[in-house]
Amino acid sequence: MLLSILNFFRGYISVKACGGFSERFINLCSVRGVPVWDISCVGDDMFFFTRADSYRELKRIAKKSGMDIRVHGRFGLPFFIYRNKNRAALAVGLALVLCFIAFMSTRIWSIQVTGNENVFDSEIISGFEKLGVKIGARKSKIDVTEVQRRFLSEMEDKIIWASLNLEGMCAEIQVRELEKGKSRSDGKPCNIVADFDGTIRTMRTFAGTPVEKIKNGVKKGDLLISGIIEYYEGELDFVEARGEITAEHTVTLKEELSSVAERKYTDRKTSFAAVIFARELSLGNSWRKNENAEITKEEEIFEINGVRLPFGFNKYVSSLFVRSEAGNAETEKGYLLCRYLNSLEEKTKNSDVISVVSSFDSQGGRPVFSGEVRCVDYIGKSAPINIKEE
Amino acid sequence: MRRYDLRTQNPQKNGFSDVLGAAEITLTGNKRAIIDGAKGVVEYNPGCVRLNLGRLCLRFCGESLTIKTLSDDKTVVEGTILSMDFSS
Repeated sequence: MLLSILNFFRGYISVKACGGFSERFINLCSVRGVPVWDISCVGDDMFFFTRADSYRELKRIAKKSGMDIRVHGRFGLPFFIYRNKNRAALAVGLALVLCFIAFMSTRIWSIQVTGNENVFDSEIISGFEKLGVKIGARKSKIDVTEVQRRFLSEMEDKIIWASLNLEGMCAEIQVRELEKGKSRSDGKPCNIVADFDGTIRTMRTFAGTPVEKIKNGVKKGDLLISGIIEYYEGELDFVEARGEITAEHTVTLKEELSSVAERKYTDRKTSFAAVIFARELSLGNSWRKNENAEITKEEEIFEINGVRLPFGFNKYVSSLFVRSEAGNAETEKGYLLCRYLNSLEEKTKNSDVISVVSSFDSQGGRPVFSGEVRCVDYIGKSAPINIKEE
Repeated sequence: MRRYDLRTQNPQKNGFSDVLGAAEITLTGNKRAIIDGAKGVVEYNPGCVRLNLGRLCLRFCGESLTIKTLSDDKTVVEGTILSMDFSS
């Protein structure tokens, strides 16, 4: 294998020899150090391979042994370069490809998040992007330990553990979320207080002294579980209060519109933008900066065998519209209903909903959607205890 | 006349053949023969390859015989070897 590679770089030829004394020719090659290999006979002709730089000596040997030699084929790098010497662009292209591969191997191509259930991928990715972990970033410049530590300190109310792996082209982020109703435990003495007004539904105390009971009404900030334990002898101990407390409460929603204008679409245009390492290069004019343009965006990222490449393109469809002050009541109602439903989903996504009462009204000619949601949520949150040592 | 001094030569290090001056032949089935110590080629054609081993002559008879490698220390003959004989 190694010899083949060496011969390729040095260049070798296949030779056809006929007439004369073939055995004498072979022996002279061996004695004079001319390397020959793959010697075969076809009829009266002998074929073999030898190094390109041995040809001169071979000619002398052939003359001595009465053989007539002809070069049958030329192989190897020197002949390749000679044949393509007028194609400098080929070498330039090859060099560019090698540089491109070297450059691409140092960058992050895509980001993947696993382990999250309630926290959105976009929230986690944007958190890491602020710390320098983004598509196109150089991997060697990222301090993984420091990034993990800073991300955890910023998301300590939602994420309890995070790991960043930069092996390969994809940045893999693994997270574990904080369980509902639990806060990050750091071992310091603290109380558990109410996060909102409500009526206590369930109460489980793991550490500390419970102050409230089931069915008690509490206001925001009221003490629920105390971190101070008083013993019979009058001694006090300060602990980290822990427990799971749920409470029933009412969430009010209201969505109204000040004004909605009817849109009449006058023109439509499609444009594209190339995406390279999450940066856009516009390939055509669009009306993105026009206030009277409605833009829809479609993203297309290239993949090879399931591996996302950091290249792609965005398709923008821009529609120009003209505002009409005479609004359409049905349009306004539909738009407002969408906003109301989105708001309802956002505020109750982590709650157990008991009942929802919604109503539609017209105040001053403008539509208003309002509603009351009775739901059950985890009410406790940690409040540190300040201890002064005497 | 060449003399061999057994006190200075290590037969296990240099091989049995170096001590006796004989060639070493390694056969892989009937497809390949590696000959260490061949001095040259006496006859060559696709049906017969005869090698000079010094005091002996080694002949391979077969079909489509080719000399894969020919150097000072090693000669490799490949093809379908049907018979092999020695002659002086």
